[in-house]
Amino acid sequence: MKRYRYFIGGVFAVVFAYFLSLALFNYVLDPICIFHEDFRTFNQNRRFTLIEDFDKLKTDVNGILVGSSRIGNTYPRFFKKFISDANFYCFSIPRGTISDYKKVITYAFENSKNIKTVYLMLDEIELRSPDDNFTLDNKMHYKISGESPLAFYSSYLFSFFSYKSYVTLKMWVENDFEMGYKYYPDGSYKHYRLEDKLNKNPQQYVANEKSFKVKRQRTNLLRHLDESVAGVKDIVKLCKENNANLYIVYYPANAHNLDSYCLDNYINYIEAVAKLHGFWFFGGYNKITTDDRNYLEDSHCSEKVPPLMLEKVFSKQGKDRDVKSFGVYVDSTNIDALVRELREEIKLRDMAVK
Amino acid sequence: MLFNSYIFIFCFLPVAVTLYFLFATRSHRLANVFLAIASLFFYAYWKFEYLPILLSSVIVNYIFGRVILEQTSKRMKCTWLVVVAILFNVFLLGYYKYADFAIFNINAVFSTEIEFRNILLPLAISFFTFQQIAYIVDCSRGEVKDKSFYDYILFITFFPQLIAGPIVHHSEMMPQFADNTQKKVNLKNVASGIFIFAIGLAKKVVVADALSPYVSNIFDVASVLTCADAWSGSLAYTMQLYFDFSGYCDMAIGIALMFNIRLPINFYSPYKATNIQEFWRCWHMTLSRFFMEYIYIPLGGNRKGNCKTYLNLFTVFVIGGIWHGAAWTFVVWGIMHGIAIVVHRIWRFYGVRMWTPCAWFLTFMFVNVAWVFFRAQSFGDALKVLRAMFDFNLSGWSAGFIYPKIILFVALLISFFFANGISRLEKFKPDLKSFIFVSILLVLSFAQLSKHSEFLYFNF
Repeated sequence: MKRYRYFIGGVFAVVFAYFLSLALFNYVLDPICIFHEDFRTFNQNRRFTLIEDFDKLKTDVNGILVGSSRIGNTYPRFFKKFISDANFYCFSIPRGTISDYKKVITYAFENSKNIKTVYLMLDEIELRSPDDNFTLDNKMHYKISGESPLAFYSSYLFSFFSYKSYVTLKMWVENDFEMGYKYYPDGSYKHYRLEDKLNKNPQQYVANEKSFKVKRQRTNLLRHLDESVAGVKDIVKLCKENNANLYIVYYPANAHNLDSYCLDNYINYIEAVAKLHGFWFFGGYNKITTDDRNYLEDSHCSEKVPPLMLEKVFSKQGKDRDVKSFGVYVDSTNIDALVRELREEIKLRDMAVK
Repeated sequence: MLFNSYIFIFCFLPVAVTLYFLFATRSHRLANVFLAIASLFFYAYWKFEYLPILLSSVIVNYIFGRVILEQTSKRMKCTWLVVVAILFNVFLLGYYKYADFAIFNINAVFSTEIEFRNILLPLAISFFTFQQIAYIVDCSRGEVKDKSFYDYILFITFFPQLIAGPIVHHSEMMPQFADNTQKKVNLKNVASGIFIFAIGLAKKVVVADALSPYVSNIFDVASVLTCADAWSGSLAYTMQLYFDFSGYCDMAIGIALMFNIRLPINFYSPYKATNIQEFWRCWHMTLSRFFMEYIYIPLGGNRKGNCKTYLNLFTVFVIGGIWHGAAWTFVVWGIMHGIAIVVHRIWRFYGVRMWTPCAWFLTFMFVNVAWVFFRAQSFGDALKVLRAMFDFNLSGWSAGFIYPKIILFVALLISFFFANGISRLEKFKPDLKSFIFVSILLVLSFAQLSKHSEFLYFNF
């Protein structure tokens, strides 16, 4: 029995030593949080900090922007030009799915009774990822996910070496230890390092940016169509129940990015959304998306694109239904024309790329 | 609450073990009641709204069981009561698991537009339903001795095996709960429990979870696959499923041991099997046992000639396919295994012999191919993978997923050449070698513990 006692005691001692050394490493040797997520500040987990920051402002917020990280540079202050008393908050959820957006919108309505505008940005990211696709770096705040605070914090207390550690280290080394992001209290952010580089010399920037040069094949199926459509339906219903004006826009994904996808479900998605609620479609292969000078890399547009979108959405000249312009208002009456135009664009693009 | 979570390992489990043995010093009945309550808490932690379903199923089945036992003891016929009880369980399972599948097929065949109910499957319903059906049938056979409600509820809800098995039999569990001599801390069992728990945890978080994104990419995301991708993807799922499920069962066995309870073995190196019958003797053994005792033998087993035997075997595997999931891909998987077992029986009847490595290779390849239907979300996905697998186009392996590919290689080595967790447990000694082995496994596992994961068999 003594040997069993020593065995059990030894295992407990190893486990204790492991966590103690991890805690010492994380909070003494790695104070700048390269190898872990600091559970006191969650500096790497935007999904967490977005909710914390919203909670500080919620009594004053009267509108929200919701989307993936791609909506992050649609600065809420842009809306003041069109809605004079706009005081919006931006939920730019990294790798967000429709389920994430729905939860966040529900949370916003429940916690702030003043929200009368919802600006929802859809893109193909929600078609790419299943609902439970998260790592420690992007786990949703426990107030949204329903996880107990104890479980949530304990999962971070001893986190070590996430996938972002390598990326973070690389960026730090390449950028003289500056990440290059500025996060604003209204939820939006600016990748100022890349924006400055792009603005300084767009041609050179585009020539040097690696993501524009990657060879693409249409291999990604964009499979999560049904869940995404169901989620949009729920969001439309949610906004109606809360008497909020819902503006839906479809993100202008960079052409190189679109080249990675089988676009059948991309088209099925916009067809389904058009039948649920009218929206502004900025996607496809158009003059903006095919010009790399409008993008920081193949996923995120530069901050000069969102104002062009807002001009269209809030323009007093009516809803532009010209399927060839950048930004067309789509609903069930003209979706077929847009789909035909899109299919033509895809065909021409594939021929040009070959 | 998952076994591979901080809250389970460092909060729930130590508290449950400590309080169980503390209560046992005062009253053995109290200890059992506490364990049942802890198990219900464990279940409710997932979704509280489904606790009433579990509780009502347990209470209704217990009442059925008692009435049937009394009728049986008075030598009165109670066939109709047994049928009603079984149908109650089947309808409960059928409603929650198969309602939307039935609607889908009705809509497809009759061109109707009945709306889907979108019913969330209560966790563990397939497992606790089968356990209770077995209990009801044994009550009708007069084979149930223990009539205590507290032991019964504990038998069904005992948390190590509640969620995903092993599917336990009342005759192996209820006597253990009633055995008061086992209500003291047994250091040997605790040490053995920690040993096998560490193995299971590592299998789950270090191997199975590492393979998951790669498998997802092959089956769900990619529209075009090379031959190498398709084979590695299918092998990755074959390994993921085994390490996930057997890892869970190892953890369940380890946790139960800490309470001095022995759960039946569920896996015993199934991928080393040299024929399909041997595979099913080593894969999900408790499910095979259930099907044999409560479906195959009542259908006649092998007592009515070869043709009837083959039909009975085929029927069992089709039912097994349906049990695993509400989709035609599962049915096809069951049919494939049904055909395979019949072919094996015919070969055996005619004395067909095969060189052992060849037999192993054929068995493993068949199982691997059949798992493609098990994993695919649709026939389209399954055919996409199978076409690529048998294309034999040597256009190369796609880049990326380096870590999962390394883990796949390690998993294959472990499955084919190393001893499984249970055989290691049988030879367990608390020496330095075991201590180092367990320490390494635990450290590797805890480093991965924060990542999101779920057990694949939770879907069943």
